[in-house]
Amino acid sequence: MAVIVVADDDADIRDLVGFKLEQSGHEVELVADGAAAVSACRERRPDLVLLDVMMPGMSGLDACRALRDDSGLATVPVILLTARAQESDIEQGFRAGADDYVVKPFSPRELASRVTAVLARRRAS
Amino acid sequence: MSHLLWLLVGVLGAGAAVQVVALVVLRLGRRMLSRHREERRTRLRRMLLTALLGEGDEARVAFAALRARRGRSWHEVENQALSLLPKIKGDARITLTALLLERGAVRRAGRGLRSRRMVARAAAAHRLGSLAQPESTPHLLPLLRDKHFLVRRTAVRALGQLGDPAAVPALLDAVVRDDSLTRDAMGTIQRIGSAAVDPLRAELASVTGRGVSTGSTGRGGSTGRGVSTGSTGRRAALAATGLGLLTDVGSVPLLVRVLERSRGRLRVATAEALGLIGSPAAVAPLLTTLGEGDPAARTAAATALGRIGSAEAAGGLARALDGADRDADRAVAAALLRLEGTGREVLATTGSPYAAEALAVHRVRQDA
Repeated sequence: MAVIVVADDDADIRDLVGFKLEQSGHEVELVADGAAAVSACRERRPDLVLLDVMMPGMSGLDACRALRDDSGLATVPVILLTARAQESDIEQGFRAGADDYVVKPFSPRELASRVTAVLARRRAS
Repeated sequence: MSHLLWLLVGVLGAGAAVQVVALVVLRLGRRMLSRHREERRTRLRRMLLTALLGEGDEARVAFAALRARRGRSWHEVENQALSLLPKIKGDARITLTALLLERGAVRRAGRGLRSRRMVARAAAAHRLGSLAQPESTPHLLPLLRDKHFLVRRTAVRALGQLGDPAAVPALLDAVVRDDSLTRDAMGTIQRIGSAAVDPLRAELASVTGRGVSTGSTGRGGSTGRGVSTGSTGRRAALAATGLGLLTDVGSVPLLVRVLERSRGRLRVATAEALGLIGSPAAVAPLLTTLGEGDPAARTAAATALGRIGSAEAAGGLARALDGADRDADRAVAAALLRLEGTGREVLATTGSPYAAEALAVHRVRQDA
């Protein structure tokens, strides 16, 4: 079981992702923006963070950079979740320090598989 | 007299007390009702998520419970399901769509399209978009002529979710009638994707036979389709933009042909599209456009050459830095900058103030 912070301003997405990950046996903390995600990460020290890119206030990319600049959280895997699927957007996400990228609309099953893969990679390293 | 006064004070006091009590009761009642609704919504959401994402018996029981709902209770399910539907794909989407279709969601949304209320028509269009059934296309097309912008825009977006290329000609017409739909219509064409290429090419090819395009809307005589030659030019320009946004390499020969024969807005849109596609085959015709008189077409051609990024264009771009038009010169200098090494060498040797400006911007960016 892993602790996962999920940040998305869309309540439907939070419900979908939260339900699927809890069903997979993870402990999930749901928040609605980037700033809340960063503070939840500082408090919970999660095993993985899922960030929506476009959020009011602090965006997912800014939150990802903030995590990478924090010595205690710099190695936490980050998966970006976004409707922006252009090559340049994906590149921007990886430059901000993301480990993986899931495009909306998404398959909840595929998302759970990616979370499992990222967590396995982290444990192996 | 004093008795009457006390009586009056008493009556007023009692009235005020009744009002305060009524207000408290009303507030408590509202709070309880709102809490009850929220609890019901949460229970329903849980049931929906279990049916969609759950496993084994648990999911089957939840699905059966949802199917058994009737009347108002089902409407709540439908509202939540339609809110989730555009956000998911895969098995969960298939399950949810099947449930909604079985319970007549398309038919109900279709009835909403005929509502006299603008919000109801927009909501119905949104629902049909979420359900994404191709047979909904003919029902949505009339909404592109709705008198309310919100309804027209919702219909344009819904057609994008349906992904039916049959909607392309009507989308172009909708933008000709209302420019403010351009961004949404182009987004919809991108969502339709490669299936939109054929109708877009047909639209663009229809002007090559005429050999001329006014490039502006609302002028000229009428055609068989009931649009002026001006709006035909506008439709063709939109088609060119669509092909560019789809980066359809196969359309380059057609776009080049249109670039060579057209003028005005169509020529600008064609040059821009060739730049978006980025094919080196467009360099020579774009250089020809750059050497001609129309400042807007020259600016578009220069920007396109910069996007293509072929060093072959450097000489032609350098010759175009002639000071004839400020915007065109700025675009030419920016294009040369995008060619990197070769382009910067050219910029350094010309005496154009726009070349100096482009190099200065480049230095600032490098320092940052």
